[in-house]
Amino acid sequence: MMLLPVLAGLGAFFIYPFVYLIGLSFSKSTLANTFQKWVGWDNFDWMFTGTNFTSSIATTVIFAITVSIVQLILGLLIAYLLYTSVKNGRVLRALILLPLMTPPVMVGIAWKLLLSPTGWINSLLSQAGLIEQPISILGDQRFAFPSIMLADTWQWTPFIVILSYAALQSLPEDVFEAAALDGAHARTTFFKLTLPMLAPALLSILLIRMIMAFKTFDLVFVLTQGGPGGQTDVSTYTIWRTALQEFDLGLAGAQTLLFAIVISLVTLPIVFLNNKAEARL
Amino acid sequence: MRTTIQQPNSPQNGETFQFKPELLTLSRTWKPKAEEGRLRKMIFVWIALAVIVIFFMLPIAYLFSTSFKSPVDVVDGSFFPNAVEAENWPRAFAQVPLWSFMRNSILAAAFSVFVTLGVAVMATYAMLKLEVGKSFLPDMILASYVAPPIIALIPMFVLMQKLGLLNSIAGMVLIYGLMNVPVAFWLMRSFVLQVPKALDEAAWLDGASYFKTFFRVTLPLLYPAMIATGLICFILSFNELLFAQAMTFDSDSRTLPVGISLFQGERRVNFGQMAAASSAGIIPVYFIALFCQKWLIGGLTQGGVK
Amino acid sequence: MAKIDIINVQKYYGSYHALREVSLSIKEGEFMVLVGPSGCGKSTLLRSIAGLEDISGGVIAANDQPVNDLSPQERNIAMVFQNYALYPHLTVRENLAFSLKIHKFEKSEIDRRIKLAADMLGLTDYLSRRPKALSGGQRQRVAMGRAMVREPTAFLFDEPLSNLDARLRVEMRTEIRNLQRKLRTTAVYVTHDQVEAMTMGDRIAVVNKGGIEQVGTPLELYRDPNNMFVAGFIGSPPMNFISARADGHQAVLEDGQVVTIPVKAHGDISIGLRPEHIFLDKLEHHHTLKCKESRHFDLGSSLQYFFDLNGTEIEVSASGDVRSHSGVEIQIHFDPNDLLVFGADTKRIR
Ligand SMILES: Nc1ncnc2c1ncn2[C@@H]1O[C@H](COP(=O)(O)OP(=O)(O)OP(=O)(O)O)[C@@H](O)[C@H]1O
Ligand SMILES: [Mg+2]
Repeated sequence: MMLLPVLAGLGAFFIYPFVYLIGLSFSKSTLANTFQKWVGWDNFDWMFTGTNFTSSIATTVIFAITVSIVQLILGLLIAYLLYTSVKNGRVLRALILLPLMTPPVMVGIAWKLLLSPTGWINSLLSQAGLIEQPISILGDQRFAFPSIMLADTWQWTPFIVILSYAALQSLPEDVFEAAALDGAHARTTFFKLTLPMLAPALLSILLIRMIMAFKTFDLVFVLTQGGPGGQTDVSTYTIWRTALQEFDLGLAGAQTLLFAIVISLVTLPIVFLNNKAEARL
Repeated sequence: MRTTIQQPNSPQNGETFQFKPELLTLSRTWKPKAEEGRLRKMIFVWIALAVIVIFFMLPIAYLFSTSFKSPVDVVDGSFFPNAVEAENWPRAFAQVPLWSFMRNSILAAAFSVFVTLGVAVMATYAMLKLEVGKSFLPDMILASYVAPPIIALIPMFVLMQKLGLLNSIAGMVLIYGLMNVPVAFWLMRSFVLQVPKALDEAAWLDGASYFKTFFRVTLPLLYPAMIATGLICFILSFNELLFAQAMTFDSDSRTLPVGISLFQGERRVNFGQMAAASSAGIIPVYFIALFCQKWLIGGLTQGGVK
Repeated sequence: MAKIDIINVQKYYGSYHALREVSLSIKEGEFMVLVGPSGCGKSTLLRSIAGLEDISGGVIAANDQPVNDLSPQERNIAMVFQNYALYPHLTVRENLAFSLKIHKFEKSEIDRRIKLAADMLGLTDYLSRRPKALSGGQRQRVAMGRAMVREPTAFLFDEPLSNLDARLRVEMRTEIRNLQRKLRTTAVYVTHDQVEAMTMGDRIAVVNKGGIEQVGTPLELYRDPNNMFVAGFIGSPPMNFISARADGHQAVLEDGQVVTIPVKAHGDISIGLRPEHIFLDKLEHHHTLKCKESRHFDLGSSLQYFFDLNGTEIEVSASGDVRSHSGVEIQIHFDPNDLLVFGADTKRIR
């Protein structure tokens, strides 16, 4: 009885959408007029042949894997520095928490200002003599995608810092003292003890971050709108455009289903690894 | 052997020790050294910390700095304004209905927190106490967390349309309230699993009604978890864009991220005013972030590292 | 194997003075026990020897070489921790091999030492298990083994048995002691359990408030304590103290009863009398004191009495059975030569 609300929530946000989407994806539907007629696999055929959705999926997968790994490494290093070298890091951690709390739209705007042709980064680059003309970093095929990754890394590395810091704190101190007496210096300790002992926690963190990265929307919405030339067209953004700007709900449904399947395929191996690593300790 | 330093008295039968004189002398002269390379290490640490802090503060600082730039300064590319132009702030508030956006955001986020907590607390309680869905619920909820929210966007849009809740704060409260349940449940569960003993004791009072036990015993135990979870859900809702921008159409229901994302999308946007509007929109969350840091970090780490 | 000299060692935690000019000389191959109440600085001293704490002054020397400026990695000292501190992600074999691998030992030598340790400690069947899959006693043995394979200068133990159940603790005491005798490695062993100290130590150092009160063999400490602290700490049940005023060999208790003391003293004194030196049946040479019974417990093998003497509770472990009742006046007897006399400054008057 007390589970009813949560089941209703699950139903509303998970089961009902799935069923509804399956329905949509086999129908011709627009935003104004759903389920006009059943069209079989037409939407799927069109998705694979007539749209760039597979490349959008590839972009998303590359994005999610790259940022989550980069952020994991960066976040762990920062957490390790804070843990080993800073006695009272409360103020530092409070500052580092801020990017995480910033609404992604504002994050996007801040980076847009920094990266704009009249922004500070351009003026730095030209002062350093690296460029002659101001460049549109976000409008450049080479730099747009890395820029999104940079902004995402800025926002989400703090999440990893905080989680890995907590994981570091939970490690038993005496084991490290035993290792010091056993003759292990900093590097050995880090690679032979710290990392393996953190592995399960780090995998959990990586998993959560990767799942979140798959859902990225806001930064792309504000910074590049999927451009230039579809370079930053992550799937959530593509689907959003199909549904709410092209109003083709049937195609959007097919895209969403494919997207959901891909996410599961990419993240499930990590879930599996994670459970295995946890069983070891 | 003559030495100026006395052998200490041995606590054994009043004899004195027979330490080697040079060690004895050393014991009086030795001082802990500043470890070699400690200074170099300190410098390295300070530089590294400075780089980290600068990196994480830079965009925010630039945003605030830009909010005080005149249109001329904006295209200048320098970090700080040449002349402080405070006018951007009042103009931004005049240009876009920021107060309404802010009110909508806070209302939607705050009320959705109550919906989320209500549902999540009951689910947590049911799972722990009544042993319902003990293995099934967490798995199901984790799975629903893996699914991208875009899955729910279209169906929810249609549903809200049918319920007549499109373009309303109530609609956003409902959406956010339900959307955050998986996260909230996950957080509450990991919090509560830390104090299984206390909850078991609650079972002793089973003689009384379930509800009495729940309100008198279980709920107070959950308060810390609820506060941390509530704060995180508040920020998630406050920052949300995808659903808000699909389902709200005017300043009576648009939230801050939507309003500001539209503002920045306009063609002839004044960068200074845009920065001012964005800065204003950040202030509420930073307020929470700085004053409720402990709860937020507690909540994040509980949910994150199992 | 080494002798360890601790000379005038000081340790400050901020402004808190944790070790106050501690000096101690530990002989080669000796089993030295540090015992004392909680928070007295035992662990601090032990960890200073290991190099895990930086000392603030004084010298720690191994074989007459100062080690103050050596890091823990350079001291070649092995430590057994209270919670074992095993490497949780490594198997027992890998735990034992960890430091040998760091020191780049030959594979055959590593195997030889592991086999030796495993045989000695009965770990052969568990070598491929992880610590999680071991019982407390087995983990304890792995920790011992890890210390052993290194053939270190000294073993340090910080309350290694406190997480084991009572039976296993007694068993492991003997086992650790036998092992140390066999290896003849110098050992420093911290405990707050005085029975453990008495049964294991070649010598015992009684630590109190950051200083060493007395060092000696278990019997020396028991028979000949330097002060009331040591007298009260060593021995179980603890020594009874009776306050009195002395004039020469005569001491007058608060209620006027007179006791002859074996040494000359003047003024306020405390008379120490161990529970096991008090008898309920009078023998020759015995002196007698009157007191009231307050309660007693039957422990099966013996009876534990508590008597009331001017408001001080006197504990007696006796085999006699007087079957009296609370409040009844009773006589206790003792040999006056068993009395220890302490001055107002708590120091022993000899
Ligand atoms: N890192 C530290 N900072 C400040 N004070 C400390 C620190 N470590 C220990 N102390 C203090 O130094 C004193 C001695 O501590 P130590 O751990 O040596 O006690 P101990 O004799 O081992 O006690 P126990 O039997 O409880 O283990 C204690 O009062 C303790 O509070
Ligand atoms: Mg201790």
